[in-house]
Order: sequence, then structure tokens, then C-alpha cells
Amino acid sequence: MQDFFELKNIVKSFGENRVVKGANFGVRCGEVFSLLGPSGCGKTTILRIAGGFEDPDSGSVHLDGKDITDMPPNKRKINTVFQNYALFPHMTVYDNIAFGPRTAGMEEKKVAEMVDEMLKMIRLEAHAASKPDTISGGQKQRVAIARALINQPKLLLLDEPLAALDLKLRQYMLLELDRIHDEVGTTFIYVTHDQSEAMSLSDRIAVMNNGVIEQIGTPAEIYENPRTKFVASFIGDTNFFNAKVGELLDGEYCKVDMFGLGEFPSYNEHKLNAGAKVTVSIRPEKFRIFDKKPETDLNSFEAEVIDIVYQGAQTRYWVKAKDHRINIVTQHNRCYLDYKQPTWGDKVWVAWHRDDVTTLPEESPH
Amino acid sequence: MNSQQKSEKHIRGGSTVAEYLLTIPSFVWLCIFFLVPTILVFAIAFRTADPFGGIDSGWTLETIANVLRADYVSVFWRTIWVSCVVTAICLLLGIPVGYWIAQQNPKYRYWYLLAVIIPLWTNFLIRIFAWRVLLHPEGFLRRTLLWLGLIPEDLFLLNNMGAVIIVTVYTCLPFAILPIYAAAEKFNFSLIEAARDLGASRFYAFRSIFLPGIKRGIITAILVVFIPAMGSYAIPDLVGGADGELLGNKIAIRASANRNLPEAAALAALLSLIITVPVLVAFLKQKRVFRIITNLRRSAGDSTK
Repeated sequence: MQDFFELKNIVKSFGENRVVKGANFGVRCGEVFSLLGPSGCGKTTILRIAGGFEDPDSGSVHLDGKDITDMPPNKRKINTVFQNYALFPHMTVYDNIAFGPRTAGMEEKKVAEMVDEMLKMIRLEAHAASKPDTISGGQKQRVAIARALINQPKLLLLDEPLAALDLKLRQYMLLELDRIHDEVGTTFIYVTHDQSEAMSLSDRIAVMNNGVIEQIGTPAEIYENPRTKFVASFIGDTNFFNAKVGELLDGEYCKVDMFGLGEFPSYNEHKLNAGAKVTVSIRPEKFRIFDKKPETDLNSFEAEVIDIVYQGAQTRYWVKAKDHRINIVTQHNRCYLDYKQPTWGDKVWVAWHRDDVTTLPEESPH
Repeated sequence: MNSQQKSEKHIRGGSTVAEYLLTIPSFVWLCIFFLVPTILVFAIAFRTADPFGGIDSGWTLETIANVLRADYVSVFWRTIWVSCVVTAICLLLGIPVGYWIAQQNPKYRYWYLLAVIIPLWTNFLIRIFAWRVLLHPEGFLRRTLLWLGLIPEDLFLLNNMGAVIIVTVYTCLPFAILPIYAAAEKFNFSLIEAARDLGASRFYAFRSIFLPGIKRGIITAILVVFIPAMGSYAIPDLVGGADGELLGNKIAIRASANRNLPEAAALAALLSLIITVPVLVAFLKQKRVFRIITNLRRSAGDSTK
């Protein structure tokens, strides 16, 4: 697929502080593309560069085949949903949404038609005459989206749009955003520090850390196959083990020596050589707990249960083996009470499949 | 809170009684030093003058009729006109300055504000005399402008209406900048970015988003510039010419040189009415006025930028 919006080698510093260190990515037409990272990682700066509010020190911005690096924000066919909505407080909901078309010099009859259509889409017809400070956070959010989308932008930028909402509302607005995206089909770039938001909404995610994009991929790729230690730890929970690559096995496997726990066959995605120092990442839900050593080709070691947290749909265990504290999650797909569960102090066998291991080179590739 | 809720609160809680008690000192202060003198001025306007510069015991409407004479009317109009020009210039200068200071790094903002306030530390009269020196026919300013060929030989900067306007703007400007800055500092500048994002030019974003956003600051600035300008008398006295006489000067002359207190009081009363009535009306109808303007604009199909 052709990249519709592209950032090439973007570098940006504020004073001494280099906040974006060479960002490259392309966004495809119609997709929801998330920039995900902790606060201060440079994701908002990239968004502001895309919107035209900051000039990059070097690099270029392309939209639909045109270089728009030097184009001021009011000339770009890009609209933004700002973090705190930035609704005009002296205007009604209606006038806020009508701002773009009116500024473009559209006649009032056509404006009214478009605004009514937008109000219908965000289901706020009843609040057209309200001032922004009299409506709720979720409603403001929807007005901000309508105010941006009415201009029929080629690209919609959303800067942490749900950060100011409470949990329930956030979940509802995620579905709303998804519905609106399906309805209008506009390309979205979505900035967030919340991995669950990014995972549930995005077609693809770019994970950022320290001004660098560490990995770009679909939510599943990023979760199941993180390329760096940062990505593995930022997206979901994981267990890290310092390890060393041992003997290379047939196919794409190798033996990995997880210090103290033993040597286990593991998937070797990065084609590491024998003797390389690696970090092994295994997600909590990839582990299974047995009361005796499983008689299969699963990898396993013996451990002691030290803590249990029952969470309804799942139970979280912490087990201890040698110097390691390992976090395990088991889903309760069958009735929890029908089964004998491990309890505090139990000796158990912790097992996992060789394909469920991510071996990450010690020096993360950038 | 609507009036019903307010009265309920009044009935239920003793807190409002305490609130009223707390306002008593300032209320008394206002009565003694503001309300009573104003009533006295209005009253004296209806008394007759005695030959020694005092007030006689009689009552008359003649003084009032007298100050509505033609030559006073022209002074009234001139005073209003000059005050309007001064207010307009103060806004034209004060709004960009307030906007600019509010966008500076907070570390330096207070230095800029200090620079605005520092001239006020010098005595008012001394500053006006400084302007006399500056604007003097042989003074630095006129010499420089002549040398640069920017003004004709026969243009004088002192003792005319221009000098009055310049110096009044100079003295009033800090009072215009401060409320505008206070409003601009609270203004959410991401709104301007939002407007730019939605296609507005820099100027249109400034006009349609920033100016309404600091409306209160602008109204305060208008009040604190326009009202003192209407009553100013030292400035026209010191830098104005024969044609630069304002109402304040007339009042001063009637009160001191002519020793005609009733006429001075009548002029002063009229001046207060001219200022108070429109301000009161504006305050009471502010919301309605704005609604009317908005409705007018909408019905006129305001799709222009």
C-alpha cells in the first residue's frame, strides 16, 4: 500500500534538548496509526510537526505526495483534536463546529447543512446552542472531533484525546472513535501514552521512547513480537531473564541458558549467534502451572508460589525460582471453584512453549 | 445562582448576614468619601453664588441652563472626542503589548510588567513637564523630526490638541496594558492554534478568538482610560493650547479663578452624568447587547471572515 502521509528523518530540538531524533514513518490512507510512548518521548512534538505548529530542524513532511514541510497550519488539509479540546469558550457548540467552514468563506446555508450532519454524527443535536462550559467532558470531546472533521481533512491528528476522561467514559469514547472512523474513513494519527487505547483502536502502532521510534507494527506484532526490551516492557506485562545463547538448533531455534534455571530450546527470531548475551522476555499469560513436571516438549522449571492475586477473570501468581520472581497469569476459562488451585508455598512446575519466547539482543537495535 | 436560590440561602443561613456585616466598612467609606460629595456637588449646582466666591442660600435653575449654552457644548464634545481618541489609541497599543507580554517566558514577564509600571513611580506633574521639554519647539523630538524631514517647518508639537492626546495616552497606557495583560495571561493560547488549525489566518485568529477571549480586560481598560481622560485637566492645562481646553479646565477655572462654585458644580455634575449613565447602561445591558449583536450578525448571514 502507498504511504499517504510520510515523515522523513525528522529531527527537532528545544534548546539543548533533542526531543525527536530522526523519526521516519509512513501512514497509509484510511488507517488509524498510533504514536505510543511514555510522556516526554517526543510523540506530541511529532504530532505538532505534522500539524504545522512546530518546524522540524531537519527532515520533511509529505501529505498525499506533496511536501508540506513549510506550509502553515491553516493551509494544510490536516485537522487536529487538541488534548484539552480547545473549544472556543465564547461560541456555542454550533458555532464551534461551524468555525472551519465559515472561515473558508462558505455560505451560511451550506454551513448549516454540514453542521447539522456533524451534530447528528456525534449525537449532540440537542446541545447545538450550548456553550462548551455547560457540556460534559465526553461531549466536549465529540464536539472537538466534529469541529475538526467538518473540514473533511485528509488527515486527522488526535493528541491524547481521551486522557482527560474517566475510565468508563474513555471506554465508551474509544468505541465512539472507532465508529466515527468507520463512518468517515479519514486517516487518523492518534497520540497516546495508554497502550490499551492504542491496541484497541489502531491498525498500526509506532512505539516511541526517548525521541526514537523503536518499533512500528500491528498491535499483535508489537505485543507478540517486540523488537526491543523497551517495547516488550512498555506494551503489556512481561518477565525478563538475563540469558546467553547456547547451541544453535535445527530451524529457527537455539538453546538459551537462563542463568540458574537451566538451558531451554527457544525461538531465535533475531538469528543470534551462539554465545550472544540476550534478554529473554516471556509474557505472564504464556506460562502454565503444573503440579508435576509436564511430560511434554514444554520447557519447564520448578518454583514456589509466593503470592496470589485473584482478579475474577484471571489469577495472577508470583512464583520464585532461584533468584527470579516470575509473574504468571492464568485465565479462568472454566469454573474456578471446580479445580484445585495452587496455594501459597506450593511447589509447582512452571512451563512454557519454545515459540512463546522472545529473545532480545542485549544491545537493542534502533 | 438564580434569585430564588439566593433568597432561600438568605433565609436559611446566617452566613449572608455575616457577609453583609463584612461589607459595612467599605460601604461606609464609599458613602462618606464618594456618595456624599457627589450629592453635594449635584446640590450645589442648584444654589446661587454669592459675590465672595461662596454659596448663597437661594435655589436656582439658572446655572444649569447656563452650562447648556453653546460654547460649553463644544467643550463637552471636544472632551468626549479627545477621550475617545485617547481610549482608542491606548487599546491599539495596549492590546498588542498585553498579548506579547502574556506570551513571554514567565521568568521575564514580570520584568516587562515592571517596565510598564516604573514610570508611575515618578510624580505625575514631573512626567508632564518632561513631555513639555520633549515636545518644546526647540526640543529634541521636534528638532530630530525636522532634521529627518518627517514634519513640515510650521508644525509645532506643544500647546495644541495633539500634545494633549499624546501625553494623555502616555499617562493612561499603563492602566490599559495591565487589565489587558491580566486577561491575556489567563487566555488559553492553544485556542489560537485551534483556530489556525481550522484554517484561520494569524490575524483572523487574533480577531475572532483572542479579542473575544479577553473581552473583560478590554472593557476594564476602556473604563480606566476613558473615565480619567474625561476628567483630565492638568495635562491640557500644561501641554494644551487655547484650542486644547477640556471640561476639566473649565471646571477648574470656574472653581478657582472665577470663584463661581455653582457653575463649577453644575459642570462637574454634568460630567459625572455623561460618564455614569452610559457605563451603568452598558453594565446592565452588557449581556443583552452582546446577544443582540450576535443575532444581528447571524441574521445578516455573517459568513465573512
